[in-house]
Amino acid sequence: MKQKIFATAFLTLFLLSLTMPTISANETLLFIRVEPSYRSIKAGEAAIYSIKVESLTRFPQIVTLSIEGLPENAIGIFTPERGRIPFRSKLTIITTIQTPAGTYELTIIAISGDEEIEAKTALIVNPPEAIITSTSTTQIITKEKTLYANVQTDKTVYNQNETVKISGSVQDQFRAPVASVEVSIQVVNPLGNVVHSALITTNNLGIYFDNFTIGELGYSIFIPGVYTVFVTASKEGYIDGYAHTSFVVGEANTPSINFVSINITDLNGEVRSEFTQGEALIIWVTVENYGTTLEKAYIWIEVDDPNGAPLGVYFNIGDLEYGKAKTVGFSFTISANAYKGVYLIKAFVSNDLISRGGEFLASTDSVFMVN
Amino acid sequence: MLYKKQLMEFTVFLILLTVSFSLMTNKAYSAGTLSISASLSKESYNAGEYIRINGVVKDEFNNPVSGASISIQVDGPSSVAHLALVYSNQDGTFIHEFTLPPNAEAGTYVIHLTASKQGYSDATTQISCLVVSEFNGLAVAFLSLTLLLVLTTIFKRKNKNIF
Repeated sequence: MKQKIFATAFLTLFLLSLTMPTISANETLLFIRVEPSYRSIKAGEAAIYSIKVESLTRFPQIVTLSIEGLPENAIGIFTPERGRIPFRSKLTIITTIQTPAGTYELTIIAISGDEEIEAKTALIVNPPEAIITSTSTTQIITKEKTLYANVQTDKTVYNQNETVKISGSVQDQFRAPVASVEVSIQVVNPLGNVVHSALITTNNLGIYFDNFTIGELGYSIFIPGVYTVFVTASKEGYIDGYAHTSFVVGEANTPSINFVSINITDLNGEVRSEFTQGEALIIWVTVENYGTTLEKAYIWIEVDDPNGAPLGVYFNIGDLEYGKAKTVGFSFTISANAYKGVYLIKAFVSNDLISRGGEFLASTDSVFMVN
Repeated sequence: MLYKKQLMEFTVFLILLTVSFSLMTNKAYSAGTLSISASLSKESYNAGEYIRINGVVKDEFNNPVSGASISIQVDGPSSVAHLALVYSNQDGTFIHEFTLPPNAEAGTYVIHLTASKQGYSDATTQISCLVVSEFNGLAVAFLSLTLLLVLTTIFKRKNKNIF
């Protein structure tokens, strides 16, 4: 009797194992959920969606979010735009009265390593109120057409002969994906030698993928340390966009610093990307270090107005320890007569003041809106 | 005999391999030295104006260095006013532009630049410019105009007296 039960249980488990998907160590199996399934607003209003990014594996990769399908004269802001899974993000779509009425299918894209997953939602834009005074309108003022690139690798630490999966996206100043952008990728080893280079084009979602194996291209001598990936995004009619990230091969003898996320909250701690004149906000910056400990690291932020004028530069000094993430908050108050439009937050990490010969080791950016 | 020949060939191969390996590693480990130069199109700017920084990164042999990162810190009269990270082009040149806020503090602005590239030692330089506040600029323009009018009147009166 017992044997029968065991045999049945074994057979059931065996059959279950056949039907269950196998998860290899390198697979992330990303999941993305967007709520609600649609939002209905009047032109000139904002719509907020909640996004949850998860993974079946325990590898906490960094995921970057982007959006496709936005109507004209609208901007989509993720807060945060990237994060280490699992994480939640808030998508705010800000429209103007010039935004054409209609139903828009929005595709939320999450990319990590060589994986790209999508989730769909919808935005219904209704005509604006019949009477609109000129003072109540919002203009999305931005500087000239600029490309914003980001880059990431599937892991932070690799071994010799492992494949490094590089991915990223290119967006314009409205955070809309830009297709057919030429992306030049260079990977530099700790000695300054280019160990991999590629020229690829973004797909219709503004995304690019690349990969290479450590040790290819004749640089077969195993050089452990911090490798840097440099990305230049170019397209006619746009100002070039740049990004870089770093990863460790074997063991590092220098810091390897990357930004995990930039989160923006109000003073009550609520994640927001739309603010009004005179309001105060807190910019939360998270960085991590997989190289050697960087003592007295400077974490900087700069806030630029819609015309590209820097409104303030703030910094925090502290150690960035090996294998640890650090989050720093900076408070910023929007002036009562501030321009309405898209504000850019630039974040940097340096090993000292640049005025004392220091250099920026990592950088990233994010945006918020003043309405 | 055949064994000896094979042994000799193998020895030569080993020597060549060692030489090429050492050349490769020497090349890889040799650290170059960067130099950076930068300039501004003007010496003085008004608040709200566009500032353009031009520069070039070279190695110790005066060859342009592409892909060097240039960290920029602009110090205003009382605080850090602007930060940027740009990269040098194929010809070693770089450009960075930014707009001064309309209420930018008047005074001397010092622009510090550090050029870095893996395998090279860093290079630093600094340049400076004067920023005149919009109000000061208007005041100077108003005073200049007033002075011009006064001088013209004096000149006209003098001419009248002569004739």
